[in-house]
Amino acid sequence: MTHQSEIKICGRFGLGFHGNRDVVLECIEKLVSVKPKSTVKINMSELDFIYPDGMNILTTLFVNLLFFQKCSIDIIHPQNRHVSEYFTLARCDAFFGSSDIDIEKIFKNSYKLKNFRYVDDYEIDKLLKVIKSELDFSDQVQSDLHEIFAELIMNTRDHSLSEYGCFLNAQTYPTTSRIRFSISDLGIGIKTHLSKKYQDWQDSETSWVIKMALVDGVSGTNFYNNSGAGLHTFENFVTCCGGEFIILSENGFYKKISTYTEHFGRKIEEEKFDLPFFYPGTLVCATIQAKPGVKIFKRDEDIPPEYRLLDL
Amino acid sequence: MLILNLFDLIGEHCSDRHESEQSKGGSYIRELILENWDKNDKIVLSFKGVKTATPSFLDESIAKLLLAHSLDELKRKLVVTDIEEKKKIEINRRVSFRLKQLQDEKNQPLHKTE
Repeated sequence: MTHQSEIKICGRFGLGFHGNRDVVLECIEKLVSVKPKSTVKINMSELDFIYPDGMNILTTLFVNLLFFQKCSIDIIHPQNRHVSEYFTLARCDAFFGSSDIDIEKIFKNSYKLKNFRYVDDYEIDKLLKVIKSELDFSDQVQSDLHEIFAELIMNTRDHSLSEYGCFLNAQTYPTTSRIRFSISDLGIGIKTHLSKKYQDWQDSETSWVIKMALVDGVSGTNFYNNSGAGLHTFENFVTCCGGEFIILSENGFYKKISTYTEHFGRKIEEEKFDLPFFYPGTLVCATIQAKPGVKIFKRDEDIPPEYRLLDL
Repeated sequence: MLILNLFDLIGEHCSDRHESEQSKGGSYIRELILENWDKNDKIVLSFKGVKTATPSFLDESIAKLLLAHSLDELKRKLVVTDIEEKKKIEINRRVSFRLKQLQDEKNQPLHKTE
């Protein structure tokens, strides 16, 4: 085995809201550039704050290094005891069987990183219980969140073909009434999946293909088995609640922000670009406002009357 | 008339397309409907007590019936009750996608059976 130089993980680790995007992308680039079968030292001593998406990114990259690249990892643990404990427990639970320590009792507003291989409604309910214990939002939003987690888990199972299933975690921020959640897999990536059906897209920018994946009905799977509703439902939910979401898949980065003010109404901003490196899989993360009065709309004006089964 | 109560058959969360370690999926409901199609003049699908019904579940259980029967046959046979408007919209959305895809596949306009 060859020895690689040390890779430092930055102090505030998260791609989304309040994160440290550019530095985090640099860290990811270094971690995906590690040579196979080498030994790598990952220095997390400065890691002071890790967001759910940061947790998913590091987990994905560690799994990639350990199991796909067959590397050895030396970890210098975070000096911040809180982060170190959170990281160790979550990783422990995800890879090495259930931990005896109940992380929800230590970090009341956190749902620890969990590995899903099928739609586990009991676990999703547990996650929502953690979120709801800290924030006030309607039963409708709770049921919509359940649907979204289920859809995203099904997406990873049916499309990404990841042998490790997916990893999901969440965190609440009671002072700002925000929920942040993140789901990731080590599968084939959105562009590779969609290009099986839409072959012209092979030559398109990956970030553009990610944007197309948000359109209702777009799926790379034979339509008898799928409907392409998962990411569209997720996008609609985040847009209605207000907040932002990021999708990082292969070398594509896509971000959408939805803000609402009384004066200006709903404002949508979008950012997309292709990266100079490939992320191993797909990461979907979101930060949403969880206000009690929020309503999730489903539009139906684009459904022609002769295509409707039910009268409203 | 046959009444299928989703809460009794699946539970409060109708999430998955297919059967998992935890519960039966949308495909189970579709197969039940198809098995009983000729034996009943009406099949009632009740959502009473159901908290979650994902678009994938609704597609698998209801919209995919279009692979075996026309929209008009579905309208005559299937009665969907105890369901909120948002889920009705989602069912119509899934049905419309299936119809459009079937149409694209056959490359012919939508026919009414009557």
